[in-house]
This record gives sequence, structure tokens and C-alpha cells, in this order.
Amino acid sequence: MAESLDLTSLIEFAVSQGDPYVALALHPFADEKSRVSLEKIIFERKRLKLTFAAAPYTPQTILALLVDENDEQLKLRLSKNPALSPELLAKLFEGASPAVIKNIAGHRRTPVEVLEEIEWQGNDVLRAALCTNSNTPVNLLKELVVGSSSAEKKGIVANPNADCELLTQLWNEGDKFVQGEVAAHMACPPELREQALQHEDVLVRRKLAANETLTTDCLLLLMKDEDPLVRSAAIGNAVLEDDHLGSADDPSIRVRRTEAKRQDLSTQIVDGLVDDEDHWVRRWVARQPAASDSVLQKLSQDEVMEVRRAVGRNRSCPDYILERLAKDEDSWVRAGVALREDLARHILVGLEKDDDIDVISAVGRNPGTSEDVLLAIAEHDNRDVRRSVIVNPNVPDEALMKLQDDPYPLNRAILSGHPNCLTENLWFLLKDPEPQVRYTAGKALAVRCQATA
Amino acid sequence: MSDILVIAEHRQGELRPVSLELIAAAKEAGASSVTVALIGANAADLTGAVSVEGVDEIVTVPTASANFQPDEWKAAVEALIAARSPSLVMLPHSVDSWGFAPALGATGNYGFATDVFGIANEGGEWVVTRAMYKEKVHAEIDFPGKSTVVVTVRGGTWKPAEGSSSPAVSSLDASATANSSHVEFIEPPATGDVDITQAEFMLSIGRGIAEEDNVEQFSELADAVGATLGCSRPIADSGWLPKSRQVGQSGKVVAACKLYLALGISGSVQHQAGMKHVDNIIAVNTDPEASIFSIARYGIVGDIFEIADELVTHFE
Amino acid sequence: MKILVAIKQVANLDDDFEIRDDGKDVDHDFCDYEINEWDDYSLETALQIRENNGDEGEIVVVTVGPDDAEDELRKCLGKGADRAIRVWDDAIEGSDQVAIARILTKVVEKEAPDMVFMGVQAADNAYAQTGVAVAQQLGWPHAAVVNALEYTPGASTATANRELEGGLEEKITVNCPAVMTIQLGINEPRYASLRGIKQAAGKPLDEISHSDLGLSDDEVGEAGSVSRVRKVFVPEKGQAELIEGTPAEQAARLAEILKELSGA
Ligand SMILES: Cc1cc2nc3c(=O)[nH]c(=O)nc-3n(C[C@H](O)[C@H](O)[C@H](O)COP(=O)(O)OP(=O)(O)OC[C@H]3O[C@@H](n4cnc5c(N)ncnc54)[C@H](O)[C@@H]3O)c2cc1C
Repeated sequence: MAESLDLTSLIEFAVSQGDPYVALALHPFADEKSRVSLEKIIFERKRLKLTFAAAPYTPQTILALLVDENDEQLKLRLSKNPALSPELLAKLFEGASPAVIKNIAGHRRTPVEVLEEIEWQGNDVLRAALCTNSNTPVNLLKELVVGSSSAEKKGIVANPNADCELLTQLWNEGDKFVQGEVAAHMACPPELREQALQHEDVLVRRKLAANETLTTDCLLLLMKDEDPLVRSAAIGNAVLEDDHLGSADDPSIRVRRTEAKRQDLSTQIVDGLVDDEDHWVRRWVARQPAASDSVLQKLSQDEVMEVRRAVGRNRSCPDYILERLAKDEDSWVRAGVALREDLARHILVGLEKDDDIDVISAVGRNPGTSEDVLLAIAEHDNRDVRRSVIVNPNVPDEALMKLQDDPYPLNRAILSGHPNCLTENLWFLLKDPEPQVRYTAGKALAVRCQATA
Repeated sequence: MSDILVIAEHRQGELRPVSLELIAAAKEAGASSVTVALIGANAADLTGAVSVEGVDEIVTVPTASANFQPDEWKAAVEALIAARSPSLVMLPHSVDSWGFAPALGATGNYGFATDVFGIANEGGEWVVTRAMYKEKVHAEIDFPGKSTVVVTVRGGTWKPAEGSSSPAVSSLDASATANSSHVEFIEPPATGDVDITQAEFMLSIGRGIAEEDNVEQFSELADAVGATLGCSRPIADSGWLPKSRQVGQSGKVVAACKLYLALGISGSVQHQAGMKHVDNIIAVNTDPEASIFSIARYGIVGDIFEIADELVTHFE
Repeated sequence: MKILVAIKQVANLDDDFEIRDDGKDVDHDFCDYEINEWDDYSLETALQIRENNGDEGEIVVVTVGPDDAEDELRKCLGKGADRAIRVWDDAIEGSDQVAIARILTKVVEKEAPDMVFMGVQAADNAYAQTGVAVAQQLGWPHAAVVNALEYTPGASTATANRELEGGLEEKITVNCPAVMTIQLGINEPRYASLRGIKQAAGKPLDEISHSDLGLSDDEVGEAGSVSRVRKVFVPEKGQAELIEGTPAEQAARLAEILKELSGA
């Protein structure tokens, strides 16, 4: 067996092994002749056909063959497979049974032409499926809305394709929940925004305030709303610019929390929130890129552990604070520091000796960690710690060679799917006991073969 | 003839309530007479507790041990069958029954089925229903050629028998060599945490919360709505919530609960064992097929995170 | 020292499935198979006893099941069992748990182990029956739903905790040899190392039939059973009142219901 990047020998290997999962992975990459031998393996058992028809990882080349089979159970599974391509959905639709058509009507990838062909009149199930399908085009939505039930209106209003006209109709015929969704819709016409702004129901105003196509003026009005839920939705709206923010004095913690969650606060606004009594507010403040050293300094001594952790995760946190946080009594805080790719070597060295598993896992991912420490982590007793080194850009080959043999299947699955995985590892993993690992390894090898060819 | 023998279960000197459910089941199955057996050194003390409506006779079988002992219980039931020739013997599908009922079945002398929740008599033959394939399928089971059938019955299926009766009480001897002996009961460790068996309103979370970090959001929600937080076994097993919060067969029965909100819980039989009795069960689950919906009064097919986000806005 | 661990390959039925033409079972094309979750714990119990015994002793795994079940036996061998036995032939089809227990009993009699471990129940059909049935046919002591075990190979008794309802446990002593049914959570089952899996390919796996065990045709299958599946069917679902609408609406209705029912 050549451990090289040669598609022909890879396919020969797959055929000699008779492994349906590797064969499945290679099928799209194979020439016509090899495909035939792979298909023999893939379709050997009825059970495998059913499994692959339902599996989201099955390549389209195989799904295409399955769509051609005349088997209702296969068709049912195909019609529920979220990866089935629009072309294959169209093909599946020809002569489909009612149960299959129902699934096609609700499928996110069904092409518009097929949706338009579905005979939904007088069929509540199909009607409901089409109403909630985000692919349903606006003209069809307009047909569906005629005489629609309240539940159907709720499906239609969530549809991104709805236009002003349709939204207006829904607003006029719908209850406050429909109106709320209309107000939140990107295509909500100006008149309705105006009405929503004055709406007596908080829900409608709250939904309007979350609409990211609102004007600043409108948002400023909503920020003065008597209801904290409305103010909170408004202050979280990305449209608002910094000079309109500043809710440190708002009596509602919900409003202050939402503001603190925004990641674009100015230094000044951050300063206003730093002493908030609510630790959730302080947690988010500690993550602000614009937080000054003095803010971070203060929050790094907060009594609430999560606040200190957030400081350690802040990209602008200076070394002298990180040095202290690296010695925090709480391991979750230290782990946050160890996770920083930009961590100064002298701080990382201290953390390399930590024995908390969250900290060690973070050290394992850190590109600055020394090679011998990474090797030791790859052999750690704790199975969840070992795999951290797989994603480390500087992982030594020796560590990867160890992990290909890891008893914990999840670790091998992660290895097979990661770009760091060595070609040598991939060949080894082709014989893994877990089908999913063999599939992933086969696919990764085929991709690499193609890239070198 | 359809005489039914019910084997009552008791522990630490108290009748286990499932025994009364079995009496009700026996009546509903059309028993021509119901005999209740009390097995154990002091089991006769429980005669009053099982003298409920529908009971025609009580037979006590004093054994050497006060607590459940599988060899003694098996011998007792065999002696009872020999003395009364019942056509059906009912035991609860409980941990103690798992410990000895299969031994009765394995003698080959009786028809035998476990975890039964449907019982019918068709022309003198017993036909029972149980689940298969993780509850996706139900099966009708019969027992060709068996004049006595022994079944273990799923708890929570029948409402417990009530009322009172004055059945005849007699006693029967059965001897056995015990191959194991009771040492002690070990109570679940008392934690400083709340006692969920006393809670009237429970909000329970299951594997649907996906990650440990999400526990926080639901504990905030429970707090906001005024509920006590509980969980399914996987959550407690992972150490995300204390074991004292686990609802179900190996956890707690939420005895005082009147309102149970199940979020991201599939509703396994073992979980149901701790909460199925609650009058108002509400379930939120993305899977419309989840079995929790079959016992819920209200259901939402939806995402627990989305619902939780919205729900909290109504409780300020 | 010898420990015998009996395992089962359990079925996972697809959401879409069909019932077999005779109406007595589902069509097995619609099932995936895996080892019963409980059996991982009982095998682990055996492996740990051997480790604490200075790695002395033999562990034999046995299953009653068709060809496919060999995969699960191989996995057990990969984790450290020494030998495997698979019992199957056409006559065994249709056996209930009592008939299966009769087959396992013969295997135990032949192997004469010091201890037999089995799962409390199997995840698919949850009979919770086979272990104690085997003990009965052997005439051996037994304990069901064991979640802690103290046992030294060769000792005449073992101490076990049984997991009862409501978090209560019962500590008992059991005479040995015994059959124990093992509960989830008693330990943390290991995964097979790849080296172990490779070595497993070279370990002995015997395939035998009921007659090899000295059982007659009417002791297995339907004839050897005390119950019979008459038909299977898809149950009707109970009917929760579904709360419909947008998530905001569903939550609003839910909030109303909660407030009303909790008297808040
Ligand atoms: C002897 C014995 C004793 C046991 N004792 C207990 C016990 O006391 N208590 C107990 O609970 N279990 C017990 N079990 C375990 C039991 O069999 C089940 O394994 C367990 O109850 C499953 O827990 P779950 O419902 O949380 O998880 P799952 O069965 O995995 O269900 C998770 C559910 O969440 C849903 N979901 C996922 N994501 C979302 C989302 N975003 N929004 C909405 N829904 C979502 C899924 O559709 C699924 O229905 C016991 C088992 C045995 C054998």
C-alpha cells in the first residue's frame, strides 16, 4: 500500500477493503469505471442504502443513484435528507407519493419551480409546509395567504421573501403576533413602522425595535419607551451609533445588560457601566475592546469569577494584568488566559505547569506551548484533554502519530477531520473501527490527492 | 375462571403505592376474585393498607427476612400459586420484581411477561401488551398452553385502588434457602440543596440543553417563573446539576408537584416514573414524536432556547 | 478465576419503518445495531475485577445472536476479554427471554465461571429478565440492579449495592458463584484501544448451535418459550394540546398557563 497521494492506489485500496464508508467517500472523486466497483460495495446491503439515503454526508453522486431507485422507503428518507440538491429534489418530485411530496414541500432546498408545481389546494398539510418554507416565492405566498388560517399566517410572515404588499395584508388581517413579526421584517413598509411605533402592545414595539433596517430617529423614540423590554431591544439594535448609547442610569438591568453586550461601545460608555451592580453587565463590559487599562484593572479584581475570566479573554488586556490572572485562584480564569494565542511566553510557561484540566486543554491549543509539553498533553490520562493538541497549529507530528491510536473514538474523529492531520494519519485512519472516521479520512485523502494531481 | 393474585410490594415497613395500582388493574382486567399476597416476616402488619375496594382475600406468607429476599419471595409466590391456582399473577415492574420474578418465568411452569401495561382476557386466554424497540412499537403477547400467567406491570398505568373492604385473611407457609442477605439500606446523601419532592412547580431540563454552559440560562428562567429546577438523569450524571435534582426512577418522585415543565426531555419510561402522575405536564421539544408529548397536557414543538428567551420576558 | 459476561446486540429502529409481513416483528432492514449500553458496564466490572486481581484470570463473553452480533463480541475482545462465544442457528429465532436464558445457562454450565455478569436490561425491549432467569436455571445465587460491588475472586461471598427506587440503595451479601445484573453508572467503561482491536482479531471466537449445547429443538425458539408475540403495531400517540404560533406567541401562551396553574 502506497502511503502517497495517488487517487488510483487509494481507490484500489478501498475496493480491496470492501468498506462501504470509504467507498462512499471516494465515489465523487473516482472515474466512471472505478465508480462501478465502488457502487457494488456501497449498495451491497439494503440497510446501507437506507442509511445513506438519510445521511447528510452522503455525496450527491450517490444520492443521484438512490433517487433513481423505485423504493418508497428510500424516497421517504431522501426527501428528508437536508443535503439533497435542488436538482435531485426536482427529480424526486416526479411521480412522488403524498408523504414524499409533503417532505419536498417543506424542504429548504426545493427549487422554486417545484414548489410552484405542488398542488396544495385543499390540502392543509401541504399548505402548512409551503407557508413555512423560506424558499416559497412571494407570488405563491400571496396565493397561500388567501383564506389562510392564523397559524399559516404565522408561517408566511416569517418568510424572508414576503414583500410590502403581502406584509400589509398580513398586518391588516393578523393578530398582534403577526403584527410583531411584520414589524420585525426587513421589508416592513414605512407606514406600518409608524403604526408599530405607536402600537399599544409592547410585543409589537419590541419586535419593531429589533428591526435592523430602522432609522436612527425611530430607534431614538423607541429608546424612550416606557417599557424596558422595548428599550432593551432598541439599545441592542446594531443601527444605533455610539453617541446615542449610554444607558448606565436606566433602572432596568435588562436594558443595561443588552447595552453591555454590544461589542462597539466607546471608552466613555464603558466607563459609565463599569461599576454596575449587576455582574452580568460587568461581565460584558470586561469583554469590551474599548475598555481602558484602568477598567480592566478594576474588573480583574472583581469578586465574580466570570468577570475576571472575561477580562482575561479581552484582546486588549495588557500583560501585567494577565500575569496576575494567570495566577488566579479560580481555574476557569487561568484557563481563559491560557487560551490566548497572543500570550507572552513567560506567562504561558507558568501555566504549562498547571494541573487543572481546563487549563491544560487551553495550553494544549496554544501555539506558543513548547513541544515537549504538547507531547505530554497528547498522552494525558484525561481523554478530553488529549485532543486539545490536535487543533494546535504547531502540533508536533509525533503527537499526531500518538493520537491516531487514541482509544477515545471522538479524538480520532476530530483528528481525521482536521487540516493538521498528517497524510500518514489518514491512511492509518482508513482502517479505523468507527465508520464515520473512515469516511472522513477517505474524503480528506481524496481531496488531498486531487490537490496534488 | 379468572382469579387474580396480586403480589404487594413493601419496603422499610411501608406498602409501596404501586401495589394499589395493581389491585385496580386486576379489577379492570375482569378478575372473578382478587387475592393480595403479603410476603415477609412482618408483612401481616400491612393487612389494613391493602384492604381496599375490590380485594376479596389477603394471604400472608411469613418469611425469615423482614426485607425483600429474592429466594424467599420466589418460593412464596410458587406456594401461593400452588395453593390458589390463579390464572394471572401480577407483580409491579419494580427493582425488587426484577430481582426475582424472572426466576418464576424461568421455571417454565408459567406464562411470563414483563413491563406490561395492557391486560385483556380473550375467551379465557390472557393477552398482554408491552412495548418494544424503545417504545416505538407495541406488542401483543399471549401464552399458549399456560394455565397460570405471571406478569410484571408498569407503574403509573392504573389509578390506585381506594376505598375499603373486609377481605378474609389467612396465612400460608413457604420455605426457602436464602442465598443472599440484607445488610442495610443506604439513604441517598442528604444535600443542603432543595428538596424537589416538596416542590409544587418544577421546571426540568434534559439533554436538550446540550451544554453545561446553558444550565445557567435555565436556572435563571426557573428562578424567574418561580419554579424549582430539576433534571433528567444524563444531566445529573454529567455533574451539571446535583443528583438531588434528578427526577425519575433512580432519582426522586416529585410527589407534591402540580405543574411540571419539561424542557428538552424525551420522556423515557424511567423519567416518567418520577413525574407522570403530575396533573399538569407541559413539554417543549423539537421532536414532535418525543414520548413526553404522550403524557403532557400542553405541548410546544419548538426550540427550548427560543422559547426560554421569550418566556423570561413575561416574568419581571 | 473466570468471569463470564453475557452481552446483547440491540436494535435501534428508524423513525420510518415497516412491520414484517407476518405482523410479528418489524422488518429488520430498518434497524441499526449496537451493543447494549448496560453491557459496557458489566464487561468493565469484569475487567476491573481482573485488574485488581493482579491481571490474573479469564474473561469470556457470550451472546445469543445472528452473524452481525459478532461485531459486538469483537469489540469486547478488543477491550480485553479473552474469548468469545456466539450461539446461533435458525431454530433459535423466535425464542423469548426464557428460551434465551436456557441457552446461556448451558454455556455457563460448560464454562463453569466464578461469576456471571449481565446488563440489568437491554435498551431496545427492556425485558429486565434474562440475568435472573439464567440464575434460576443454574440454581445460582443472584442479585439484580447492582451499582456497586465488592468481590475478590475465590471469595465465598460478595457484597453488592442494589439501586432501588428513589435514590435508595440496599447493601446485600450474596453467596458466590453468582449471577449479577449490572446497572449503568457502576463504573466508567473504557474504550478499546486500536491495538486491542487488532489483537482481538486473533482471539478465539467460537460459533456454536443449540444442539452443540445439548439442547433439543423444542427447548429453544417458540417451542421453548413461555410467551409468544402475537402481533406488533404502532401505538397511537397520546394527545397533548399543542400550543401553536410564533415563538413569541407560544411563549406568551405558555406564560399565561404557567401563571394560572402555579397560582402566581
Ligand atoms: C434503571 C434505570 C434508571 C433510570 N433512572 C432515571 C431517572 O431517574 N431519571 C431519568 O431522567 N432517567 C433515568 N434513566 C435514564 C433514561 O432511560 C433516559 O436515558 C433519560 O431519561 C434520558 O434523558 P433525556 O430525556 O434528558 O435525554 P434524551 O432522551 O437524549 O432526550 C433529549 C430530548 O431533547 C430534545 N431536544 C434536543 N435539543 C432540543 C432543543 N434545542 N429544543 C427542544 N428540544 C430539544 C430531543 O428531541 C430529545 O427528545 C434510567 C435508566 C435506567 C435503566
